[in-house]
Amino acid sequence: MRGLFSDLQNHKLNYIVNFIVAFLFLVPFLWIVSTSFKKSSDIVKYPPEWIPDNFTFDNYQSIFTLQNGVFLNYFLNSAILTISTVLIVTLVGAFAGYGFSKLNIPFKNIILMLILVTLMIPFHGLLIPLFSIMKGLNLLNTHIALVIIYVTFQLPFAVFMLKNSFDALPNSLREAALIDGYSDIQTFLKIALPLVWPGLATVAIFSAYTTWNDFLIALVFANSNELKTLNVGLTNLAVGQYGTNWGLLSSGSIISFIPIILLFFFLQRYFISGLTSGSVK
Amino acid sequence: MGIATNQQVQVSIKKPVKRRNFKLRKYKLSHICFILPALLLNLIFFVYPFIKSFIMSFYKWPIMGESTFIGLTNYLNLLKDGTFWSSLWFTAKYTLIVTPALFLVGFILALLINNRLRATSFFRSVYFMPVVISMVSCSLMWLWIYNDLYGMLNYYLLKFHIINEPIVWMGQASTSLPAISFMITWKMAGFTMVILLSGLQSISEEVYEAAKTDGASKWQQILYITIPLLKPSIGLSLVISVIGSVLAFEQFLVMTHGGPSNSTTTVVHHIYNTSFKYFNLGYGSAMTFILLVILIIFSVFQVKMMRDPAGN
Repeated sequence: MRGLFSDLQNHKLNYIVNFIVAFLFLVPFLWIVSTSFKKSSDIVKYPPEWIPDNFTFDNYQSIFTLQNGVFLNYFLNSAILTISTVLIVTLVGAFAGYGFSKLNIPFKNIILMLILVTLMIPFHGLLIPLFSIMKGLNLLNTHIALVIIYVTFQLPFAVFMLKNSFDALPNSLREAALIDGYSDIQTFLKIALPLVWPGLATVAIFSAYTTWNDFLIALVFANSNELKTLNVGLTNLAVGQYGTNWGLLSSGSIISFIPIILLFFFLQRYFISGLTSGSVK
Repeated sequence: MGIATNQQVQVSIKKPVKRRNFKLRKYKLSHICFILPALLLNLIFFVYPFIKSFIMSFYKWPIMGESTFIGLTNYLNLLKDGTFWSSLWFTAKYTLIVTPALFLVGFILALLINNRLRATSFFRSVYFMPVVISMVSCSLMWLWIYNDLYGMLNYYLLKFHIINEPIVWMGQASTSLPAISFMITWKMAGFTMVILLSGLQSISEEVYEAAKTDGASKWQQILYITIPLLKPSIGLSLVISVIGSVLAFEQFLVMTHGGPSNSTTTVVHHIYNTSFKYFNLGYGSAMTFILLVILIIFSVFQVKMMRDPAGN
């Protein structure tokens, strides 16, 4: 048995059922996209129209112009945080993964255990002491604090994933490179790293997804208006004076998830492996 | 001569024993540098805060000024804190609704796409799409769907005479809890689907062939072959849903603000309010510690399930 309707004569039935279910899954997206292209007078029209009579880009224009373009600022903050976190996590994780996999390091297994055990503790458990530590370091309300925290929490998975990737490479590869006169760092950068790019891609996607979608960490550690990320900023708009402006909130939500959905459609395989192994561990 | 030198070189390459001894005896500083950044980050921003969290839970720890050691007072206060217990109870209710719902829908989706038809990867993407968007944009989206005056849901329910008056979905816990649970099922079922699908695909075709020759019907096959052999994946997906639900926060913050009168406040939400709204960091730590204990119990289950799939 492959699936519910997998016999040959049932192919049609399978398609029909899947199409219906897929349509139901898409309805919320269609509704919000439709709302985002409506004039505010049409949004409150009863009965609601699925295809706007007066198609307009007004909402997309006003979301970027409200409060001196603060929304673009939110977007850039999210982008900067995501890009820096992805780069650092992948780099630090790759170095550590290679070290744990191929190099001779004192107490290697104990250190590895220590890092992997932290996979079991959700970040929610450490927000309070981290808040106090960041305050002591004078890093509250900085992007640095956010990047440090994102990197620390994503690192165990990156190390785990990349150690496994490097484990799959034969040790003779490194030995041959060393005999050819490569240093350890050259062997790592020029030979080993290019060979584990699927692992790197999985880690990078997992990191981008986690950082871009984060809300709680950004809420606690960066609450000044210039530093807010998209998710925190959007929530702010929703509880403030724009709380009933559904055209605006719809276009804001769409802009906030378009990058991650595009990433998903282009790199689907890594996305699914990154997300599932990221929480399965 | 030239050939002889070549052979000598090859011989020296094939002598790993000598090098291995050399490696075992001496550690290189440059090697340690490979793991040092990861280790330092882990020690300073994970291990240290973890210990500090435990210590803080025995202190009265305001954001400004001196913190004072108060022994078990935070934990004793916890016993009398009605909001804490009601938030714990609310989170438990939410978990008990969401976990079976996610499993059921995820299982059906997995069965629907467990085939080699050409369009399958398209359907899989559609079912997984809600997983990739952030909880905040998802919550805003559904807040609009659930809107009492102009929302799509009330419109269709009224149109088909399922209800007579518009429902203020976020107005009370008795309607907001099922509404938000429904939204989460839409959002996360694709995730359960992927986990169950990888389990389904590891079941060999021959088992089903044998059952078919014995005259087992499709439903009997699902009941007596698929589900028992899928146990490890099912267990894993359940544990992941439970942990995710226990940590629920954003959807309630955005959609109900925890209200009315704290009736939809989850544990994480209550801890957030205590620690970062009223800056009662010591008390927040004590609550966090209780939450961590609950979660670690579930995580141990998870590890056990992965190590020993047969032994439940």
